[in-house]
Amino acid sequence: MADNGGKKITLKSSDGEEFEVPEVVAMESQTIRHVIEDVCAKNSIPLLNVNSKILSKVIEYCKKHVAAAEAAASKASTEEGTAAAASVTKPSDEDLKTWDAEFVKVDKGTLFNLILAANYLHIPGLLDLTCQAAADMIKGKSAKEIRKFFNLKNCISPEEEEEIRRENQWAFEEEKRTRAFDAYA
Amino acid sequence: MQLDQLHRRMEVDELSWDSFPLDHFKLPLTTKPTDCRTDLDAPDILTLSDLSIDSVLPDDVFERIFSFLPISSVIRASLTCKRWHEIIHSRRCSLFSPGSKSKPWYFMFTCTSEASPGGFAFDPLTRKWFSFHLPCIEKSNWFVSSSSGLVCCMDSDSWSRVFVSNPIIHEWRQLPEPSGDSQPDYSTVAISVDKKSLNYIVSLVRSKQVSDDFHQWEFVVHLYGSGSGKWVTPVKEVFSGWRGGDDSVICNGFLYCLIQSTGVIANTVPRHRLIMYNIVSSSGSLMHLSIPVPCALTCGRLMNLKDRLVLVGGIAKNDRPDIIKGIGIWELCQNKVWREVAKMPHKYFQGFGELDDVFASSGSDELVYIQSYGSTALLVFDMEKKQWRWSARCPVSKRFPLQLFSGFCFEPRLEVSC
Repeated sequence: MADNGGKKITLKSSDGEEFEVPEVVAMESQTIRHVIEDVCAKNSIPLLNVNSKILSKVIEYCKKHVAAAEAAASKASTEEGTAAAASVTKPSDEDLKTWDAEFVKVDKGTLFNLILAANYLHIPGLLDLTCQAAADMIKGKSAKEIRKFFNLKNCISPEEEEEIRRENQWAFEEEKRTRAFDAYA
Repeated sequence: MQLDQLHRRMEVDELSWDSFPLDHFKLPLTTKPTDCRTDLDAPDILTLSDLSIDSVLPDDVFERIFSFLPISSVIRASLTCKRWHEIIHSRRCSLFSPGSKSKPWYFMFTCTSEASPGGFAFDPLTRKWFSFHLPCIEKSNWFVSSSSGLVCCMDSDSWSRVFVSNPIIHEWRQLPEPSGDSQPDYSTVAISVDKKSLNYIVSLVRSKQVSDDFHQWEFVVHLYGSGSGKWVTPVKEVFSGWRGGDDSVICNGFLYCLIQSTGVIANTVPRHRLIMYNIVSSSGSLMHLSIPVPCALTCGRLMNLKDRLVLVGGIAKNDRPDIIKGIGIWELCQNKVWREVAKMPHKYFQGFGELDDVFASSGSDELVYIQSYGSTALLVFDMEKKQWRWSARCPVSKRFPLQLFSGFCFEPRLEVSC
């Protein structure tokens, strides 16, 4: 990535840690972009909503995606044959997807914090990635399993639950099948 | 308990989120930051990583998460707690938003009992068949059309009872009876939902023989708008040698309808034409504005795929207009010219076994479904990937030789109401 004297900015996490990053990386966040553009001469931005652990992960994501975009842009502008001259860190689309998939392989607490951070900092790519990961945790689970996994308080009455199940039998067929199988297992 | 005491406790042991009732913390929820500057000073709630996800994520984030789920998972999720149930049924949750992966289903009538035609719905995302019940439809030979989650049907006896329903949220209503001759010879319905306002238009095209020599046919268009709640009859034309009432669809402000030749014409000339009626600013004779179909067809099915008009047609043998030798998919381009999208590869054509000259085909979004009336085999064509694929095997199999199967495609949606 071009680290050749581009403007840097300091992001300060809620627990006081400072991260110096190129401005272009920080601007992956629309929130930060607005602050930089509206409030001039700001060298250090305190992010009181994000702790250092999460902020470092967010910065990691932004750095990776800025690098990928730059690589793709320069690839498009070079005609041919100069690929050898380019740095070895030129991820293709597939590589980036693989990297993204690994990036979200975290415990659910970290994932939810990442979702919050991406939402608060307005980073659309990261928000979609983390929401998709959260959705993958929900997909295929029964209502009971979802509740347990996310520690949700069940405040739906048994009558209401029965009505929902009855009206949408098709959505619960799988559950019935698994339950029946469990009875014989 | 003080907040700092809470911090200390959390460092010591992993607390279950259930230990603290939701209203215990009285912490502000982060919503979309409208003023960046003040939000940067908002209290830090993110170190409390053991909080219930339910108490820290705002509604619109949940909506986004749900939009990545297949609808069966969304329904199951709506059971977990009241808040999720409210979000899911708040009508803001669109499963067909640009980021989502929802795909249209295919409903197949599989029960021939007239009491209540049951059936199965195929979800191409999970590749599963669900036993599914449709509201309103009393017989499998009713006229059906669908758009953006709404299913419009018309009875096959009086041809005047028209219903609009959303089968997923179990809502339905009967439209007022359209005026005019309710004993036409041919009839076809179509529905179109406006994506912004969620209002819809229903079209009913009727065709009736005028003269005894099978030559003159009346072509009448009735339109219903959910906004006005009324039917109007903007078009009445008489065709010579052509009759209407084959498939119709509304796409991009146009009502498209296939008409068929009633006269004797050379077998090399297509026996079908496409009527293109501009709903917004109609003018001129429909017959003059019509165009022929791309080639001789045994039957044609029209569909609206992402605001493009697509025709699925049985390709007729040169000298035998009633014998099918292949199936093709065409798209109508801006300049009113047909562009061939795909031809069904021979192995799939053969895979249907005996394929009649007439078959069922329906589609939405990016998918085209093709089904032979004689079996439950269902073929899916993905317009984006240009791929053909059989559906998962239908749980119902043919019970007697003359049993017929038909069906239609619809998008399962929570947010569209009739």
